[in-house]
Amino acid sequence: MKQLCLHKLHYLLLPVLLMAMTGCGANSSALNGANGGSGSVTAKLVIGKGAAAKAVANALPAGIASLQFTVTGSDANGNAIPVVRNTITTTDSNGQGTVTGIYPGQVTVAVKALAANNTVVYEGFAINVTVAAGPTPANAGTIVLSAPLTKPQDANCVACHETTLDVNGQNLVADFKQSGHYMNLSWTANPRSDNGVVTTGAGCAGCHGPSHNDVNPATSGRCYECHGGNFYPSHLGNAVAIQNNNCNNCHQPHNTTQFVQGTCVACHAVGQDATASGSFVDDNSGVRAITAEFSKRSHHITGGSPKDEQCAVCHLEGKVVNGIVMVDSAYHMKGAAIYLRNADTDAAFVWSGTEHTNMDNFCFSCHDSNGATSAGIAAIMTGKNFGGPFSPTNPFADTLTNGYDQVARAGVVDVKTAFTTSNASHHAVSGQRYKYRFSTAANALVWFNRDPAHRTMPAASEIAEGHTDLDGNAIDAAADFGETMTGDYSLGGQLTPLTTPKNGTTGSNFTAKGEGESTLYEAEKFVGTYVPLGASNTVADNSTLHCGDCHTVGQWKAGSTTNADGSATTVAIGAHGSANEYLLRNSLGTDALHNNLTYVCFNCHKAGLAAGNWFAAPTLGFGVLHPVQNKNQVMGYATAHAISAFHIQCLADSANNIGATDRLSKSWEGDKTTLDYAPAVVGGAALPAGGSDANYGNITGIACTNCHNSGLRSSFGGIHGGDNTYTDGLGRTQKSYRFMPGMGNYRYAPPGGWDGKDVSNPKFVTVAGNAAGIAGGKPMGGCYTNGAVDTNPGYSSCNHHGTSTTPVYGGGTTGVGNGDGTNGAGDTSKTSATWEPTVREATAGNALVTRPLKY
Amino acid sequence: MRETSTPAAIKKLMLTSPWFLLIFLVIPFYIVVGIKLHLHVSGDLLLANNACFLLLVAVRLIWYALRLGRDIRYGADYRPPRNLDTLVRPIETKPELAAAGYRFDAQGSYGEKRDLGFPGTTLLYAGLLLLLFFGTYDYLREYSIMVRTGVGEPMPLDGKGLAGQFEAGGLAATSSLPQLQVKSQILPNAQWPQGATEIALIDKDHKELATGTIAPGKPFRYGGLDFHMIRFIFDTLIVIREGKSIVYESFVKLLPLPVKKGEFSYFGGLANKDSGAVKGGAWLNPEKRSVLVEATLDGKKLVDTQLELWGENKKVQGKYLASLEGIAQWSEIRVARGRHRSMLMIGAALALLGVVMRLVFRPKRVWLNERSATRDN
Repeated sequence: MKQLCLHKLHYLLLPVLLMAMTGCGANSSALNGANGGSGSVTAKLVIGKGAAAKAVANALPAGIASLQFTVTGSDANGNAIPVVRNTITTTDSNGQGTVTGIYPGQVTVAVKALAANNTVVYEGFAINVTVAAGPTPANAGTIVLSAPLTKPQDANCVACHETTLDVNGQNLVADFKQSGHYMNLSWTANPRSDNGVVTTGAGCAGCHGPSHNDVNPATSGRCYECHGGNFYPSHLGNAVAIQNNNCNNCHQPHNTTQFVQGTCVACHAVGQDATASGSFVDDNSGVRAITAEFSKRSHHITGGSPKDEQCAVCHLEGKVVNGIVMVDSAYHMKGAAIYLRNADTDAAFVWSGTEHTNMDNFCFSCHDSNGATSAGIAAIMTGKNFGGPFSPTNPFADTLTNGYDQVARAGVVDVKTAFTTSNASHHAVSGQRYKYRFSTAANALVWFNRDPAHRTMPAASEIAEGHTDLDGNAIDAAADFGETMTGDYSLGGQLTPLTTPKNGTTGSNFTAKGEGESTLYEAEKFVGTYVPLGASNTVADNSTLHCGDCHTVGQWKAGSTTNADGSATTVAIGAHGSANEYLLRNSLGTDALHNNLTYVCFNCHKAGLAAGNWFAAPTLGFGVLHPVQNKNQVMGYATAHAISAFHIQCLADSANNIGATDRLSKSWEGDKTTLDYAPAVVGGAALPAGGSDANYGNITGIACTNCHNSGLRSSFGGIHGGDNTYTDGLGRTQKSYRFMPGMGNYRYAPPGGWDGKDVSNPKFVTVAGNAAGIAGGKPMGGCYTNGAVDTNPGYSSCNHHGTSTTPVYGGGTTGVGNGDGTNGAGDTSKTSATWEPTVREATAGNALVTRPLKY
Repeated sequence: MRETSTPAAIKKLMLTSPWFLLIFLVIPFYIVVGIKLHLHVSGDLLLANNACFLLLVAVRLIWYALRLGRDIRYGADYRPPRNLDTLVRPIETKPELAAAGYRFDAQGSYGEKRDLGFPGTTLLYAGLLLLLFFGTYDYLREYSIMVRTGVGEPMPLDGKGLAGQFEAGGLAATSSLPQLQVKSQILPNAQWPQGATEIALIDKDHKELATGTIAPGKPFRYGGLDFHMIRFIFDTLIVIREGKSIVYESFVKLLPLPVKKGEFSYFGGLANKDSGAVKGGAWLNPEKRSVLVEATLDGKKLVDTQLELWGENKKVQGKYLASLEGIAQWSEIRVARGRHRSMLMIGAALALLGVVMRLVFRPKRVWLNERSATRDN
């Protein structure tokens, strides 16, 4: 059996053969490339140790009388090309010989070295050689010749099927002779009997029977007769693959070391459990069933089912050989990690589930200004069109759209630029947005004293006061945090008795609070239980985030991150597809479409209205972030986000609506006037029976982006960050800080500018006495839309407040007093009964909790 | 003439009087006038009117149908002659009338000969019944919606979350309607000169109920619903920047041009309430996904350039950067529940035939009053 021990072969150079072909059986004139319709192949033949054969000029090696080449294969359409068989008996002066008459296509080259008596002394094969027209020969690589193995019961089969093509369009015998099914002569168990003829073990007859008795042994269960008790652990739990006789879904039946064409999507249509126990679980304890994830509501690869090429755009586990995507064993199943392709350099990003920065940079390598520019991706995808033409900004060559907003983009969303840390707004993925969680020592003490039993007094290093900000500038606590937080940063106490129905149109049931400045963390505007990926502390002003904090790649595995309430996620979703939109997580950790109670925003930002009686729970709900006074107006400054006159309509979401027209124009929840909202952090609360107000959605369907999209009215992705300018409702040019304004028509006018201190223009400052209880000298501002009769040019539809350069007090004093609670229970304040610009922030006289732009 | 009692009068009013039916024209007349005068008129009022009319017609149809087989259909009380012409005939007259086809009541004082007018009246009410029944039913089941949707997820047709025109009667059962999914959109070609849309109807379990291709003038029918493609409409997201300032950013809605402008077949204006002084237009070549943008600011040219969505989608002109950042293609589809046209036509035909028969074939009736010749002389 020495001749079968390939590992003992040492290779001697045999003639380097140039097999020239000419299209359609033309003559060898194509050798010089004169015929544009022909191609050629080069190959190097080597034989094993002991053969004593060497390349020689003008002759074949000793012991070899002739070399027989048989070329079979299929053309670009999958049709068989004519079989070419030629024999050479000598070489030229360079030790080369020529075989002509081969068609272009994907071919198998079978080589037999024959002795003088025509017995085969060596044989070898090259499979999947792509022959293209033109003078440049395709390189078939090295063909290893080894002594032939003869399996008597299959001899007749091989003889007849020598040029038969396999399911992959390549030579069946060439495939089969490299397979253990053929090579393993020792397997004699599991014989089969057909019409009294017994054949043993695997092999042609061993599976098919001696006379074509079983055309498809894979589906008839022959695989399991031998392998039934000996599956690899990764197959044990895979019910679909095993029970339904689906071996040939993945395995090339005549060479089980190969995978069938369509390797990625076919094999990964079912999960693979890598655990020894074999219990199949649909998460990354093994490999999830991936293919089906591309048919979820949102997903990468649009406009059709995924193709192997598209998989290889992101995954280095796939490579292209001769135009076909093949498994790259250098990465595939190499340990427990996966290897993601740097879309600009083709380098590997290792991802084993904790390298979140790697994942960020992987995402950025494509989602940047120039898209996927790597040579490897170009080699895979150039010329492809799976709904759209390939380009660096359309690396999947797909339709660049989705099934819900249905707008085709020009290219991938450039989030890397959006995350630039010098932008006016950015979520802290490329770097921190703020440096500290605490502003001043005094404020930190206030924060500590609110719950001393569970809190630790922050160290000085955690406090901005006395330190430098991210730009290296000294923080002047007196200037930046000029008004010390008094602890009155949330809604005040509830007035009793409640005099206003919760869906009433006037009045507040809460007392107002004093002013103060603080960080968001101090003011408890962050969800206190969410821990960002890779972090040990709960989310705060100075947190850094990762793509997976918002997108489902963060939930690649059950338990890979936390939900808003701090509990571990229980659902594996990943980056291929999600039941939610835009591959976003929701705050409940489920794989479900979000709504205005469960936006991913609420993982970090407190939001939502208290379920049931929101009046009775001032510390819960949306009112914490954007305090809502009643269905029409908010209380004023009693928030870290200095949003005022916040309308419930502003919360209208339209997720689940199909098509831009419906997403912008009508909320899916009907009419949200009863305000029965639950904060996301106490997830599980039922949707309110009423629903949100109609006609104020935007194309993303996400209510938050009505106000927060970094100055972009219609474009996608502004929530990542931006550095735009806009004209506010008072006619001033503003930078798009705080991600404002958004896709709604709102043109937020920050009172006193973004630092809240500019009172230099008396036009934008309140005048004492213009309304009861309103002090003079306060900066004015608030939300504006572009006109009371705005025709909604963007993909949002709010037109509630008209544009005016003349600040107007939000009048309509229908109650008693000024709403600050000082006039007793009947102090029901005022409300806006008209469509005036909402300049109530400064005039409301309530507490201001604000913060500087840098700390 | 004999006196008419109150019950008899009511019976006559309800069952036979043709003038009573005129009351049901009052509300339709009011509706028509209201619409003409742009007043708010309720369709429910007309529905109630027709329902009452239907009820009355049904009663009359039964009343007439039951008499079709009787010898005495009209009865002596039905429209007795107002003016009596006394004809002095011998006693043998009655047998002569009987021989001529007249049938007499038990008293022998009233007789009538069968005429086609009576079945004509019956036919009239049968026709009216069909008209009113199916008209009312169709009104209650009325369903019409206009949607704009592109290739993607199925859209519910129950009116929830839908903008645009939506009308549904009380028995429309919109919750049981299938969802509409656009599978593909075919731009105009030789086979589909105005383009076409491949649609699928999806049930609540996400199973495909039916598929079809619709084009302008070529609707698809399923489950009593007609799916008409009206046209394609496009939205293009156009952004013009000057440094960090966004000079213009909006989806521009593009409608078909009656006459192509070069290679461009759709047009939309840039101006809107948010665009300030930016004006101009955008022309689309849907096949190439290219847009010609001509924008002015305060009357001066901002940009005048052609952009391709999946090609050169950004161009700098002077200090402005124009970009084409998105295109949405909508199929404008009207879905309506078809009416029972054939039944309505049959009803109308029956009613018309009945009226004609009633007018052509008049009743033949006699009232006999026996008197002695001596006294008369």
